[in-house]
Parts: sequence; C-alpha cells; structure tokens
Amino acid sequence: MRLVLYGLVILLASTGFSLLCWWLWLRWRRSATESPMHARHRDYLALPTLLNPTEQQLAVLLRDILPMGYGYTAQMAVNRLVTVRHLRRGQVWRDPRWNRIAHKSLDFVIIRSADTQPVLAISLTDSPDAVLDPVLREVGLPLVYIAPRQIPSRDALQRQIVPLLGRG
Amino acid sequence: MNTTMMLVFLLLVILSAIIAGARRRQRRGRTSASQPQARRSRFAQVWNATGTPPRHYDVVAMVLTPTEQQFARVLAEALPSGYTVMVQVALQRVVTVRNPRRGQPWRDKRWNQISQKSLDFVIVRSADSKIILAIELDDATHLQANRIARDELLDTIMADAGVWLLHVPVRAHYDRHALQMQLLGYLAQ
Repeated sequence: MRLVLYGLVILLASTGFSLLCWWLWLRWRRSATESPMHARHRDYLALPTLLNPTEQQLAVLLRDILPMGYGYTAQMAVNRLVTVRHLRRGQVWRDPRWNRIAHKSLDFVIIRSADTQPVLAISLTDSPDAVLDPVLREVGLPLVYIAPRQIPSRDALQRQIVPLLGRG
Repeated sequence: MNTTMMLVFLLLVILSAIIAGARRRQRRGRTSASQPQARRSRFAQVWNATGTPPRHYDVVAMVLTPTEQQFARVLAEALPSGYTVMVQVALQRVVTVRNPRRGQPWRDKRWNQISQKSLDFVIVRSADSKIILAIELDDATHLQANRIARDELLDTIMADAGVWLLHVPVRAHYDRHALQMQLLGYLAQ
C-alpha cells in the first residue's frame, strides 16, 4: 500500500513539475518575442538563395524573352502589389482581407520599366492558389501558373507571356 | 491520511487545470470558426444591395514610388554586371525562422515578425541568386515612431540572420560613384 502511495506521489509530483516547466517555458517564449524591439539572438537565419533551382531556370528564361521596356522582380510581397480598400489605419491586422494577403508572396512579377507598373504575375505551382487567384482576378492582374516540373521551352513561354503584357 | 488527502487535492487541482485549458481552447476555436460566417453574411448583404460583388482590393499603379524609382535607376547604373536588383521582396523569402513550428508557422511570433514585412531592394548574384545585400530607402516616413521601431526590429533580424542591410536616406540626387564604391565593398565580401 505504502509503495503504491509513494508511486502515486512521484507520478503526481512529476506531472506537476512538467506542467510548471511547460507554463514557464510558454511565459519565457511570450516575453522573449512580445517585445518587437528585441529579437533574440539566433532566432533567424538567412536563406542561401532567393530563388530555388526551378525558379532560377525560369528567371533565366524570363530574362531572355521579356521585350524591351519590361523587367521582372522575384519573391515580391503581395501586400506591396495589392492594396486593401478602406483599410483601417493603424489596425490593419484586424482586417481579414489584409490578413488573407499579408504574408503571401509571388514568385515573379513582370513590371513595366518606365513606371514600374505591374503587368503580370507568375506563380510556380501545380495548382491555383485559393487566395491569390480570386484576389488577382478581382484587381485585373493576369496570373500565370507554371508547373515546376514542366518548365516550358523558351518559345512556349514567350507565346504564353508576351501576349499578356499589353493587357496589364 | 494526510498524505491521501494531499494526493486527492493535488489530483483535483491538476484535473481542474486540464479542464479549464480544454474549455478555453474550445471557446477560442468556436470564436474563430464563427468569424468567417459573419464575414460571409456581410459580403452577401453588400452583394445583394448593389447587384455586383463588392471590391475589396486594388492593384498598385506603381510597384515603386517616384523616389524609389529614381534610386532604382541610379542603383542599376552603379551595380556591376552579374548582379540583379529585386524590388519589394518579401522578408520571409530572405530570412527564415530557426527551428520553425512545422505546419503552424503563424503560431510562432518570430515568424509573425517577418511574415508581413518587405525589403525595398535586394541585390542578388544573377548566376545563382545568392542574396548579397538588402537596401532600405529611408524617406520621411522612417522618422515616425512606429517606423523607427520597425526599422530597429528589421536591423536586429537582418543582423541576426547575417544578411547585410544598407539604409540609404532619400535625396534629390544620388552620387552614382559614391554608391558604386559603397556597393563594391559589400559585393567583395
């Protein structure tokens, strides 16, 4: 009987200790990241390259096929391309329309060099993005999907992209 | 007897903590699930009243502001061949969180600190798109208190990740040679 009791005491004490540790860890994590001014050391690391090999392959093709007067940018933040109508100033994070696009990025955006007007977006993915697709359709910016495993040839890409440039 | 009482008491405390946690989680889940429904109904109301779906978004007329465009032109001239300038790059495509939570990045405050930010210019090596340098063009808005805090956080994050970040104050004219010399210092590293 006494052995069972000791066992129970140890079990309860270890459970309590684990819960206490967990709670303390949560508190430490929250306090460490709540202050935006003090990001902890070794929280972040740099990505080795901006583009993965497939994106690099497409970038080379784009550089080759884009006509004079057009350029491209890669990994563009969608919140820099699309604005939300009647957004509450200072409370953007409360707006679900903002939250839907805020952390999204586009693989490539083709822009007119003269005034940096965006004319076309390219996404390297197999299936349409459920968020970006309707948003870009709403704003009237063409979005081209290219399957990463089937990068088109130079000519095929030219036939696909160049006719869309005038529409932007 | 005393030990048994204490055990029972401890057990009750732990049980009540677990139940309270579970109820709290359930309440949170219910709130977040009801929000989209409310949004949908508001959307439907506007749609029915006007006959057309309400527009929520607009595309920007220019990716770069006129002052940024002016700097971009000088930057393109100052940059040696073999390097490319990308604009308005999402910060989360340049730096990432160490040991991220798999499948739930939005629960990580470190990820939330970088997920919505962007960098004005990022210089990459054309051959392999290696990130060389990020540039922020500091205009008058960077003197506002919230922008100062944002810039300080960005500096900390970039320093932590080991990516060079150059702040260039907005000017009427940029000295191409001075910028070239400054860039060469970074490109040589």
